[in-house]
Amino acid sequence: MKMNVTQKLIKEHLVSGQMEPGEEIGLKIDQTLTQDATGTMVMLELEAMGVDQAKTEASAQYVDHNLIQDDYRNADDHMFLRSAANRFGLYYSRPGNGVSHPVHMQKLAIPGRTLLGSDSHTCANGCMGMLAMGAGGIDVALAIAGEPYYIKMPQVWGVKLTGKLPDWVSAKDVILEMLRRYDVKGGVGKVIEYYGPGVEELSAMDRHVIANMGAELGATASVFPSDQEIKNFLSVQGREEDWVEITADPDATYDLHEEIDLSQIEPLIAKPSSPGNVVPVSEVAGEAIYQSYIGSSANPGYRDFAIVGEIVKGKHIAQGLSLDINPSSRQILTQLVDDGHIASLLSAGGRLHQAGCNGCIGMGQAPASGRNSLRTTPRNFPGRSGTKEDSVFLCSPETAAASALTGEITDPRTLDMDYPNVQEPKKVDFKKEQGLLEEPLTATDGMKVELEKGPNISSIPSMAPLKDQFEVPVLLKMGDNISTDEILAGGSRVLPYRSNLPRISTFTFEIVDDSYYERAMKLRDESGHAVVGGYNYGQGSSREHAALAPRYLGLKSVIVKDFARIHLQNLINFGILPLTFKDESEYDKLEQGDVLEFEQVRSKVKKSNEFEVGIKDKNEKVKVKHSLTDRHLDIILAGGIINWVKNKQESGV
Amino acid sequence: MGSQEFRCKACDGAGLLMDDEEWRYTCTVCSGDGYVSSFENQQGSRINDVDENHRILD
Repeated sequence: MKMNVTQKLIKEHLVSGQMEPGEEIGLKIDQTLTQDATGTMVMLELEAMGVDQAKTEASAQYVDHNLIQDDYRNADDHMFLRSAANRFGLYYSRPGNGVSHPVHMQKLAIPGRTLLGSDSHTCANGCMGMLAMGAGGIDVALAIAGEPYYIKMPQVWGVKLTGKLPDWVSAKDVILEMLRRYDVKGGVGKVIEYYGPGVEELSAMDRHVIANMGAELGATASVFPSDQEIKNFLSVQGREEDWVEITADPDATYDLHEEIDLSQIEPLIAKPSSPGNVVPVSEVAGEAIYQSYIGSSANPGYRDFAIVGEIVKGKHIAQGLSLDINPSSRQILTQLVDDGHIASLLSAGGRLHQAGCNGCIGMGQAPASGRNSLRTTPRNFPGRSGTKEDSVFLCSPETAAASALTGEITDPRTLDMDYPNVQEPKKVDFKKEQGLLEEPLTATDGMKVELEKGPNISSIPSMAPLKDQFEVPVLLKMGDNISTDEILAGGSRVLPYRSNLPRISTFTFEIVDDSYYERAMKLRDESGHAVVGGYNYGQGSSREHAALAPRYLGLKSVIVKDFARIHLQNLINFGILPLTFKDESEYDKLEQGDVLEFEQVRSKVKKSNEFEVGIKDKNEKVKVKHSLTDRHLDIILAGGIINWVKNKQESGV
Repeated sequence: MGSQEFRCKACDGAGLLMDDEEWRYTCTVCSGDGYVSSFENQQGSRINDVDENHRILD
């Protein structure tokens, strides 16, 4: 069978299922990455699972999100993450070393491998001939513990690149062209594989730019071949031995087809407030801007900064404008310093920030309300910049630089200058980045490490398996469309406690009923409780704590008309029995305060996907059903995936 | 806008929430207003626009 690159990567890592689009497949994961926002919980989950050492080839913990330390909590998190990396055998990337995606590419990415990361832009490393996917924190914890990652077999979308980019047009314009054509859901259920002669015209970092924003298309992953360019990149990084060639077989086929002639692309820009709202820069030229922002994992390369340095060299940015320079990695920052580009940027009026995610995720450099901010970042949905009333445009470094000089959105082709010729560095001075990516300890040394938990970090307590027989009161009866924000909001009062389960649980369901926490805690160690809801329960942002916190408070079962998909998965993962009404009209039978009688539930859920639950003192029953697979049932019966893995670790299976 | 009594508990009046990766988005409880009146509190939730992985798209 002639195979494309994606099929080769999947086949090489397939541990279960058939490679038919839509079928569930299990994939062996070779590498993982976690960033600090998601990583603290992942490390606590590893501890709770009883994992001794990472089972992956390479796992890395990056600190790139919470770099601004205005109290002890971020600093404590960093210390905890470092100790956990040492304990579990992970690489640890120190604050200031840079954004996970470009640093992983430079230091650890290996063609042919799978990478799972608890960050949605993990797909960026598809530029290296890897199958790189973003996932939830618990999925990454499982991968570190040696468990497969389960997805639906995606369609493979072949995008043939031909031609060569014109002057003043770069890789960002290519992915903006994809977003112009297909918008932000165009890649859902698909791996986007780029191939064709145009690929050879793109550097490894150009490919990173394109692969990164596969996330904005909603794609499962973005994949490029591993060719001579990737060999050269690895050679510069001192890792040529990691290179293997991976290209599509001649005459390989794709499920879907698209073609982009690079020579026909013009400078593009995504207008507020969606990455899919793409138009030619010329269409919005002349609009005044307040900020021009360079950096992020969507334009992380040396070239992306150097080209801006060359464009503004010897000139000065427009009066009143903020030109923010956010280096993506320390390695690139050092190279830009050595080659004089940082001097050019500063002399022109730029503001230099430390290497990290920074303003891309709204961690600093938030723009003024309602003022136009031009950014080389990947997302401009409302509020992503950190400003509620923001007005963010996404563009290439060339467009950002030209606009910084004029103070208005400017098509860079209209600048009165030749297109600068930027050469990528041919070597890396590794001495200048010494100690920034700490190597894993040996297993023997790692096992001796104690996790350093500050006062705001608390271990996940052990949770009991599902009982065969139990009676639980309905503490809440809710309506339709209850969102994860209503279950546990991700606001500034709440999120600082994400590593402190007892504390964060105090906020559970407070939007719905302020008395829930007190009532749940009174019953937690006696009976526990249930909640009832309507349609689309758990909709909204994927948030693991929206399942974990109620579980901590004793939630044993949720009975609703139907579930939002990701929240259903989270309930299963944390051992909460998710049930739906067989007859939706029976929702009306249940009232808050009713006591539900679950009898022989362990055997019932295995025997059939339908059974009855009694309502105590009412001489009535409700018919419920579940859609749990055998794997889900194992997890639920064990009391959640943490117990399930822990049991496996202890039994050595 | 409302009084402090009705300050949105979800976003603490800021109008923005964060997802697991700390991407900010408009508070879905108060629609970014920062306040929830007792009348608004009785309304059903609005349905969030999300992708397959429940990434907020609006």
